Amino acid sequence: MKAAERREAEKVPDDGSKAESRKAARQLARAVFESELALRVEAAVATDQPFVERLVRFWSNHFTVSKQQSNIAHLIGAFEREAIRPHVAGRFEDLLLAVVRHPAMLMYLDNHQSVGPASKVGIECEVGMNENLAREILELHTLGVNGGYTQADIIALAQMLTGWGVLLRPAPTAGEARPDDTAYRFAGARHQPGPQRLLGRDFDAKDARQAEDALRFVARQPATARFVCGKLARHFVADTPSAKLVDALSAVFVESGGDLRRVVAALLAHPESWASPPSKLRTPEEWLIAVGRALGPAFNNTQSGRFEGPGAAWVYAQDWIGQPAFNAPSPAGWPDTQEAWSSPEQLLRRISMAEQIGRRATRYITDVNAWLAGVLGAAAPAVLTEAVAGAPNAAVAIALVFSSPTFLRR
Amino acid sequence: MTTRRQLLQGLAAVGLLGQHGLSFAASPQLGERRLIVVLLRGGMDGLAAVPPYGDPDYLRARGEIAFDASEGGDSPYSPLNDTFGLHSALAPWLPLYSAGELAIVHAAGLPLIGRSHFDAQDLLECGANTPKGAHSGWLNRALGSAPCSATAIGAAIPLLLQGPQAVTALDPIGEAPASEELLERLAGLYAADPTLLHALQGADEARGMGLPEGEARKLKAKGVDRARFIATGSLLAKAEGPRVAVIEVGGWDTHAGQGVRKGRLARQLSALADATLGLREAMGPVWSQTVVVMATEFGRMVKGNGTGGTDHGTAGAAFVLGGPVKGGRVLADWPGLSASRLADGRDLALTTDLRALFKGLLHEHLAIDRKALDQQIFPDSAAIKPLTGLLRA
Repeated sequence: MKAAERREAEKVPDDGSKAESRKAARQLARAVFESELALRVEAAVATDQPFVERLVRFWSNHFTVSKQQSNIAHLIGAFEREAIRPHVAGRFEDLLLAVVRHPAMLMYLDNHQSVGPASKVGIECEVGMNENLAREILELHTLGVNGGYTQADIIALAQMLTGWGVLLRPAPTAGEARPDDTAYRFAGARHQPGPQRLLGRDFDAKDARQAEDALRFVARQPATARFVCGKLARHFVADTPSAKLVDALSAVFVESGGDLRRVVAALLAHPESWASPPSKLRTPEEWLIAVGRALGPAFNNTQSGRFEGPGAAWVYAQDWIGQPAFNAPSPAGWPDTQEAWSSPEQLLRRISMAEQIGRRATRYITDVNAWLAGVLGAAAPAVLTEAVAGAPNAAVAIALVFSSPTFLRR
Repeated sequence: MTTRRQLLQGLAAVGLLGQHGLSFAASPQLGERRLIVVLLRGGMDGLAAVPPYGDPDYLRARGEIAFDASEGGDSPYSPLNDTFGLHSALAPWLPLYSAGELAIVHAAGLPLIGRSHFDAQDLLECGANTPKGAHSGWLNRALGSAPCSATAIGAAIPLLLQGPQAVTALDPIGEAPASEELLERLAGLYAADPTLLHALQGADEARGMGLPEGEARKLKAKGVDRARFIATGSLLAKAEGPRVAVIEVGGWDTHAGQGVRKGRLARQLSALADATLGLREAMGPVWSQTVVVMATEFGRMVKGNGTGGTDHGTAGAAFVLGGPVKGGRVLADWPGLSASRLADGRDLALTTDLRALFKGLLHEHLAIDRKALDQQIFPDSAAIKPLTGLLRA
């Protein structure tokens, strides 16, 4: 028998249905991901509080969860809405706890599979602990890589976090999705019993409370203040912020017990935040949002119409300019310095996109000079207004504005 | 009026450019050598690309997707030796194999539990012992020991090439159309911004070194992968071009319709073989100094699934091509396909860690020492010995 005939003869009738339901689940996850993204973009483009949106994005990147791990794609929008957004002007420790408890983070960094060796499940089954989440909390989220912790601290935190997991229910039948189909749950049977020592301090609370205490403790460390404030300063002020600025912010962080509203107020009040000319290069995503804000409601019509469903065009646009949405390559998130975003190909793609958008936007922008004055006002340097005045047509003029250093930087 | 190119060349001459320009000098230890890493994303089926037809358990273990030469008609593979064959779609590689320019490493992979694309690709690129064990790529860290200009082919820089060393991203088949008119005006606007000017100059260089637009369009019509490989070859062939490049090729996740002699996998392999020959030709004499290594995040299950495809597995095959390669060989500590030898009772077992392959190439081709390989480039990996003897002395 030939292979093809054999395949036909041996086909199990029910083989297709499994693949079908997998496909349906993938399509649903994609639809959820794209509509979440559309909402996020609409909020950023339309908001009258753009600084809050920038804070949300900063913290989303600090606490990266990425669609590279495809089984959490549909949870990422929820992660930002539920764990990040409510806390950007709150206390850092509350933010940290909300993040670590979220199913998207628990699954992204594998903690939902982590089992304490001396727990009930650990003794009965041959499964073990996963240190991933604990390691990244200390290295990337709080103390920073040089924050003075050891491998023993990582293991202690990982043991305290055992049992922090996700309640996974069987897939719902069509039209019956429940909001808590994927939800945080603490499983005592997986939790490593006994006290743990972290950064020289003993934690002896029971169950989930133990890691909660530890996380609050880590969140208040001076090393955490320095690491987090250094990242804030790098993101909002300069690739290499001054030690003076980082010191000032860290002092406020420590003194206020990690009150992010006060830290951000100190950041905004600092003269270095207003240094001119601005030195930060916008990431592709930031640039696209800035373009959207500059075009207003006309923006949607400047995006290619060949994509179906909300968010699909945005997914394509971000992919194309080199920063795919919610898709950072590692838990460290997207880089935050200009070296990472100024490769020739990336610049060329932004310029190319600016040109395409410029062509489509001429239907909506009738007076380019008035539009430019409205968008950049006094920030438009003479060299740009001259270039715009010398442009052969409105499309080139608009593309020049979006590709100009004034617009590429912030 | 000064043209954009004149302006940029003038600035290059006064040394303002360079950060993202391609033309910074390679360290002398490299000589004229080039390294190209091709990431085959999705999990290429090594058991189909390089079928172990001589393994007594092969036909039974692989089942309906096995390559059975006794079925008559054109054979789905060409024998390379008594054990291994080469998929008929890779037949364009046979002359390279005979000429000693192609070596195959089989039963190779990464020590990973879980078979997730994400974890496996992360592991393949970060070079650590566990997924996410390092936040930069091993190839970037290797540049710390062998400084030279390196580029990703495309818009984004994959994790493999991310890290502390300055690298760039170029698309030599110019997928980003931007008019000369606009670019010329921008050169003036960027005059006071060295970073942006560097990038614009780099783009200009890449356009100059890549293929003319009309040629690129014609090539792309015959297949994007081939066009990208050819353009990469001509980019690296230039004396002032990059020395290290990373190309990504997707489409290997053949869960359904994988096929045997024909089908999805055969199309993928055939495109890859064509692309490689195009690259070889485009590199000209530099091919004699070039090593191309192609690896994937995992192999696929020995037995086919219910939808004419294969699910995620463990070990698979990797390819090493180039002038310096001591090829015409399949290197494998072959574990066999008898039921007791399969990993988890289902996969080709892993006997060569891909890091051993990468270490061997970095050591022999880029003259990177063991200490850097064992500690920085592949952290805590002293136990994994470099696979040496891959290249001609």
